[in-house]
Amino acid sequence: MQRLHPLQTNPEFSILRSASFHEYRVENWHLARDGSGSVVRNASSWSWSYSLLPVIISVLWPKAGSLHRIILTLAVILFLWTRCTQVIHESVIVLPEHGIQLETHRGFPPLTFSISRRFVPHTMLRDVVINEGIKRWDIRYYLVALNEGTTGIALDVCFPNILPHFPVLIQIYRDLRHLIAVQVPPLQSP
Amino acid sequence: MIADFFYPDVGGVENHIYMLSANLIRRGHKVIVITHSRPPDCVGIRWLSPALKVYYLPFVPIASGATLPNFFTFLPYLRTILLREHIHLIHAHASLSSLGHEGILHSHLMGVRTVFTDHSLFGFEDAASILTNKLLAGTLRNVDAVICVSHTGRENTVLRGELFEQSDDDPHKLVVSSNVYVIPNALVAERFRPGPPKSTDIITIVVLSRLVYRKGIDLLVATAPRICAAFQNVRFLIGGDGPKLIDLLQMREKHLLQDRIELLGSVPHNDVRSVLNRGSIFVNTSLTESFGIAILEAACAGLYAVSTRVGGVPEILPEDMISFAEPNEDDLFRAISKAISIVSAGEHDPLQAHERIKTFYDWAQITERTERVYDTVIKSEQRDLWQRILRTMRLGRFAGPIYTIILIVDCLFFLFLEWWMPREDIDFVTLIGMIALSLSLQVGC
Repeated sequence: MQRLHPLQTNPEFSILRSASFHEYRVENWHLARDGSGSVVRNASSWSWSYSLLPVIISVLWPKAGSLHRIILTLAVILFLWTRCTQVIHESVIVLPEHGIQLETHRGFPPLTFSISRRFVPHTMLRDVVINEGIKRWDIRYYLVALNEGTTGIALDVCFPNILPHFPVLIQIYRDLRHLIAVQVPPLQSP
Repeated sequence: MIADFFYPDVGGVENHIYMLSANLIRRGHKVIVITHSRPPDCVGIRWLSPALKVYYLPFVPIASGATLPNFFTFLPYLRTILLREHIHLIHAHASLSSLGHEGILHSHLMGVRTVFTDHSLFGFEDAASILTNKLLAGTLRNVDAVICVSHTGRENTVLRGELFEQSDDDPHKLVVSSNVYVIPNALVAERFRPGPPKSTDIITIVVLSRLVYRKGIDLLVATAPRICAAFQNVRFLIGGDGPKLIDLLQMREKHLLQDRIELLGSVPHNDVRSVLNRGSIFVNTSLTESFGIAILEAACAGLYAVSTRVGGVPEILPEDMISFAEPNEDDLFRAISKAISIVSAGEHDPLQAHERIKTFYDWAQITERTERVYDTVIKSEQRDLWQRILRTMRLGRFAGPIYTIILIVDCLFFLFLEWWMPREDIDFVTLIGMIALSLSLQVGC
């Protein structure tokens, strides 16, 4: 298993190569772009402010009525849920001769609690495209796999949560296009 | 280019923006268009040939393609787009386009210069006009250049937008600002070639316009039966759609002219030439017209033009290629009768008319003139914030302070956006990205 970091400006992007597959992984942090080079983490690990939570709960709980206690419990559960479903990393795994798989690993950094996967077989994968889209107030480049199923063309966005910037996407795009061109085209029934 | 009116809607303004953008790209500039989305197909970012990127932003239109006047909701999108595309200058079109107005109000925050083009004439008396004129005056107070499509349009815009200042020599005299230009519209003459010569046994009069009040359909409804009664060999061919279609249908029923007047309904832009080639005379009955590109297209296709003498129409063609009428029924009847007699006598040569008009209006010339305006704007100095505030305060007793408050809140919102979405984190557009996308993506909508 070989791990490469092809881009110096984007060390969160790595390629893992093995005999049977290779994976393009983008982790959920990036270098600060203002030139200082410090690490900006979008998925936060344990921080000292989390220990304030039991203190606040222990102060409020005895004095709270039952309705307030229910609200407090729900607030704590919501807090724990958001902390434990942060995106750790997302990847595009290429399985030669089978297809590509889009994965999102969520959890509490550095532990992974859940992985959601979407597999696109080579027969269905029509093309890979980079386009720009509007996300709230921002405009981002995104990489999308076009699947041609029986019901028309569906779009699967790669890295939907992290949305890396263009230099990362163009690397993955070139490799994926190369792979798609090399694959034997699917047999079309007349 | 910023406008509410763009592809896939069809119309004069839309076509003008597209042709100007295409010609500017041909001359080596980078052009993008920002407009509002038309769900479900025209959303997000699309490409049109040749290498024209169109941003379809999520704003809801309220009436005939125009969005509600806002002052702040466009700023986040505009800031991201202008910074990521490395834009130097924005060109806003149409007074009714609130996206264009907002673009002019926000661009100075990013050091981007502004140009505004006005395509229509507006009145001064009714309530809607008073409000829109005040909004226009507020926007044009700090714009870098204004382009109008005719000299009449220039007069109209200068008066509505208060584009005059006290002259330096004599404080009691008012002088028009030096940054108001007149650059007419143009047409692609090859697309409007005359058809083969027709016999003068049956003379067909073509009318192609939106069937709304301001295009003078009532005049047409009054005049058409009189013409049909006076000349037995005349047919009418009316294309276009709108609320006044009912009036035309009723008139046709009342005078039993079903075989003399043909109603085509909405005509797609590609079919306009074939419709024009079926006729010998083109009639335009507008009550107000800033330029009249339809008349020009018809004259280019070899038809003899008859029009009401309103707005900028007398400026577009030489006197011997068009007949004018006052906007009343009797004069229009006289003018059309004269046109019929000229065409029946064979005194009008369609091919010669086409050859002449080919030399009058050309997109390359118009683009070059527009480029010169851009050049002047970029070389001039941008006003700083204090100058802007002073100029805005002079708008009026109430409008001045209101617009100044809007300007200051705009600056504060911009500062907030600089903190919330820092410039370094914007996904910038690179040359490689642009070339790769424009070639590989064939996504229209």
